[in-house]
Amino acid sequence: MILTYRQLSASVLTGMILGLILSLPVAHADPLYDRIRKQVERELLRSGETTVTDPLVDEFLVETYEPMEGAIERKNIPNALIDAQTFCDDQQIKKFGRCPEVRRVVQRIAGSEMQPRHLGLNLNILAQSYEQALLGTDILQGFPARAQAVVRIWQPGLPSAGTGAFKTRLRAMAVPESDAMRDAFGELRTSLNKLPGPADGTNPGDNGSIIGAGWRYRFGGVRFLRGERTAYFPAPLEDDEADNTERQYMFARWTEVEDKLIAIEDLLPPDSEIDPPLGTGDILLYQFPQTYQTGMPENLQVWAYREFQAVDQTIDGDVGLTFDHALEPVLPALCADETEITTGRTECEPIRGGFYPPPPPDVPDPALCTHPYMRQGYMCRPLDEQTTTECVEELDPSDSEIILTRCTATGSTRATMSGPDACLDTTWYKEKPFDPEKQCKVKIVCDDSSPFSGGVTEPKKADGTINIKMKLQPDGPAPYIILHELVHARQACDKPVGHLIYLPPVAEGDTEEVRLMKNRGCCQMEGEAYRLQAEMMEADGIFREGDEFNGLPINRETFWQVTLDFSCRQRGYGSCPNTFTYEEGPAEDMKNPPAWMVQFIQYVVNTLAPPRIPEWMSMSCTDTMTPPPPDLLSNDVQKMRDPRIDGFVRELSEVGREACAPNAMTEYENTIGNNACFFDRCLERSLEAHNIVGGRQAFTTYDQAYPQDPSLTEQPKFASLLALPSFQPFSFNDYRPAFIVNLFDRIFCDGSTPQGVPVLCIARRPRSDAAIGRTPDTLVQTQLDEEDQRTREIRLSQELSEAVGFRMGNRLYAKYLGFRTRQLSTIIEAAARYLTAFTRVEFPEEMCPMGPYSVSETPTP
Amino acid sequence: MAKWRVRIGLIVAVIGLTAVTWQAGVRWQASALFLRDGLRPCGLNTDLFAPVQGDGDGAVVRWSEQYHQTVSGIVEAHLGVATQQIECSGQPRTRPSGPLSAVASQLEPWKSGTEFYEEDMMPILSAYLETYECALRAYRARHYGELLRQASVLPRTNSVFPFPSLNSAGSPLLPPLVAQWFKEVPLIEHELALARPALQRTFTYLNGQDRLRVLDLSLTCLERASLDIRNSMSLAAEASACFPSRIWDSRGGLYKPQ
Repeated sequence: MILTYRQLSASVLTGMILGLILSLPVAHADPLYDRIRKQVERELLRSGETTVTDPLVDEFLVETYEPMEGAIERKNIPNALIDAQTFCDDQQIKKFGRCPEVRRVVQRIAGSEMQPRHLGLNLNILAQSYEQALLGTDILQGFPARAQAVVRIWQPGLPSAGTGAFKTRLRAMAVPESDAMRDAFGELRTSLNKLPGPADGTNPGDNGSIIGAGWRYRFGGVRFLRGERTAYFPAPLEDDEADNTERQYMFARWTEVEDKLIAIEDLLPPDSEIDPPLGTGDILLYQFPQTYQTGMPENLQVWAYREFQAVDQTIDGDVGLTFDHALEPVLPALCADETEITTGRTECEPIRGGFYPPPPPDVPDPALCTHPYMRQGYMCRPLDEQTTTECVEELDPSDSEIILTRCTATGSTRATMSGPDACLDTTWYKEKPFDPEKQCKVKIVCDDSSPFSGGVTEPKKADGTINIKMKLQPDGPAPYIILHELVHARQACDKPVGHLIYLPPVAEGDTEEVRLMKNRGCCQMEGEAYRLQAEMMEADGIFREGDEFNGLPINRETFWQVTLDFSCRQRGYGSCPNTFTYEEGPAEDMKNPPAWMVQFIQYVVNTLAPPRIPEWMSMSCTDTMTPPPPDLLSNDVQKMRDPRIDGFVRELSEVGREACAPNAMTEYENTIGNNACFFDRCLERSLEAHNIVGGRQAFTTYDQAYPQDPSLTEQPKFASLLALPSFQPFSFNDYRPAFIVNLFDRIFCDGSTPQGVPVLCIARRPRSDAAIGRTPDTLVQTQLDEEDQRTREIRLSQELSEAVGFRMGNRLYAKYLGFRTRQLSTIIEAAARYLTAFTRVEFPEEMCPMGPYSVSETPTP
Repeated sequence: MAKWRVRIGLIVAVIGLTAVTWQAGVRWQASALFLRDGLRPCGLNTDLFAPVQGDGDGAVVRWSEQYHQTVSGIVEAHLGVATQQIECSGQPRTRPSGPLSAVASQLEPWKSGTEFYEEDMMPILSAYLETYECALRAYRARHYGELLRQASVLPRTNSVFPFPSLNSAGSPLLPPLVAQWFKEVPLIEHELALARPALQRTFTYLNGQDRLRVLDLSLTCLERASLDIRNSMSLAAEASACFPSRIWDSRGGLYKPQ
């Protein structure tokens, strides 16, 4: 069981996550099958077919029995395994007595040490089987890179903006060949070759330190281990208690190897030669010449990368080792390395085991998250949505309802004048410098300096600012008036500094042409504002069926026309021709609106509207812009700022740099998402701001359509048929194998489960305590008594561990793939339908008849 | 009588060797990966493993090298299979590598025209292993039969020693067939004990990768489909620039009243 934990700690935990990637340069190595075949061949030898056992186990056995007057010598061990007669004829054994029992004990101890080592190899192969698919032998051709490529093709956003789903970009640089670099690799190879080899029984004295070094520098690099990246990543905790224990190679350091790796990193091309320079999210993987990587012991490979640290705008990186195929794990050490670890061992100080190792922390190994690509993995990435959003899709309707989708999550509401805009949250096209002559910044100020009862939009200032000054307590709900003024801001937004949206009032001496132009200016500019205002009021339920004032219906149409005509008359521009209240005559004569108009407006504002105003809406300017919290209100109503205001302001910020604007070039990366953003902007622009046909106005300039317009082709409805899947926040299963196996062990060892038999737990018992300081009789009997227990427990643990592992893996696969691929396939299908439908759209060969704005086409209510 | 003694001696020697073989066989069966039920009768496959003239006693050595090199080549090709070989119509799959095709084309049922892909590597290699093991066993059985046949025709002698003469050093002079037996059978046993566990572990290692390989293939196909969609979307975006607002605005739009 110790080994199970160890193996999982050493291999599974350190790798098997999505996005957990290292730069593994391609290099020639021994063929995989040949290496596995040799490994199996060695095991066949160790299995008793010949006299060869694991030398380390032999040594451990000899040293373990040393207190007993040298009863067991190394040369006796093979005989104990396969040749009883020779073993029992040995003089020392005869002196010791009870040969058959002693032989059985030797066999059992050798077997009990060999078995977990074999098990470790197999477990590692099993774990690597999954990890390797994620790690790949070449990251640029591997599974994660392909996944990233798909995302990049789809995602909207600019690479430099660090937006989009994937915030990293893999880049590669081939390290140029040089004598210095070749020599550096040679020195590293020499240092590695000096390390004792893998503890596979090939060479006596091998203790696995070279395998340990491979694993040690596989994820966290040398600079991380040396604490040179503390600005971004705290140095790893060193487990001093692991020294001279079976875990010693998991925490060991090989300073000479580290120095050689750093020397290689120092020879990499300077950061200034990286072209183009690294930007936010960029990861540069160095690919070393294949010839340099060849010949490393155990097929070790060198990796190195650089990344751009957005925090302090510096470039950082690391260097380390890895395997092309990690076929051997860090096996539990049997002999303590009390001397310098890099020089190997000459004598074995047996590690007699101990108590169960301390549980791993319930957090990922920090080394995993140092690599920028691994950082994207879910073990390293905080999943905010898991903790902050509750979004449960309900798909079990009652008999009387059909639920397409429902989500309980609450989020920020975003709206524009005619629905949400796509891509608002994403910087998907190249920004242009702010130009006050063509763009604007809107500022809404609440003060009483406005000469009007509601508010006023001031001309654009030199810096492009357009101030909207609002009365603190305007006549009527502030949001409607702010929206009204925002329309005026829009009218001036793309105009030069100081631009007036319409000319001064009609003055004495104006020619007829000038008078008409001034009149048209007011009527059109104010008309747009009042139309929008009326539309918003209607949307909020201010106008209802049957409302009337002295026989005149009160609705959106009548309201905006009355208020428009009233406004332009009062300001001296005369009656507006496009209203039903229009009256012929000079502007001077039309200056005073009739009394019924005032009464009409006052009735709507003071009587009709107040009880129908939405509860969330504030009346004053101050409260509208900064809604008071509920506890300050008497009725405990949640007030909010009208999202239409924010949407409008946001749209104004886009003026002058809008995508798909006339005579403007939009530059963006060619991705599906960006193309969709552009398409959407063109579509929305066409629907929201167009004036396609005279009288057929856009949503924002509401007007009724002309029924007598030339019959248009039927509008394609493909867009309305699209049903995109709801995107629920996805939560991964907890995947902490070492933690789970440790927990699994402890549950059994504590006997807290029905099957948990504490006596089965050997983990708490020193490995060979029975062999130390006891008489031969006690030793033999104790060992024999434990044999069945150990066998039973190991078998039980193996079976259960495997079952736990399979369940964890399958659950991860099933949950992730089942959930995500369903959404993805739905999107693909929708895209296919959409694009297919798009090909069926028939564009008219001739433009619709258009002409200058014609008064004669003014609709009547 | 002597002839019978020789026969008995030879048979005892063969039985002794067979016992070793059987012992190894038991161990092999204990670690067997594949179900043995329902296997086809096997023997010396004339296409893949067959003694050839001039092999002498090197057939097993040659087969061993051939088998392991072939498996290694197929596995390496499997690890490095190019994405260009993927077929994305229907269930994504990969056209088989050259080394795999070369072996499959000599094994049933693929030899008879059954379609196969790179994803069928493990069944094909299993069949290849089975053929290899069958060839080894058949070779051993044929050799064993030949030993018995020769023993049955040996002349009677008065010696109880099964072998008729000694060499100059005084050691029994083994008949060539017996000498070959002692040389080849250990290698056969070694191969029978090694080939299957080695392939099993290789499969174990590749199995997880191949599970993700399905996803990888789908991703590759998705990448290609995404490129098609991107191109279509690019065209759509280009076309959308001609929506009425641009046409109309160029002639004086909503915000150009003056």
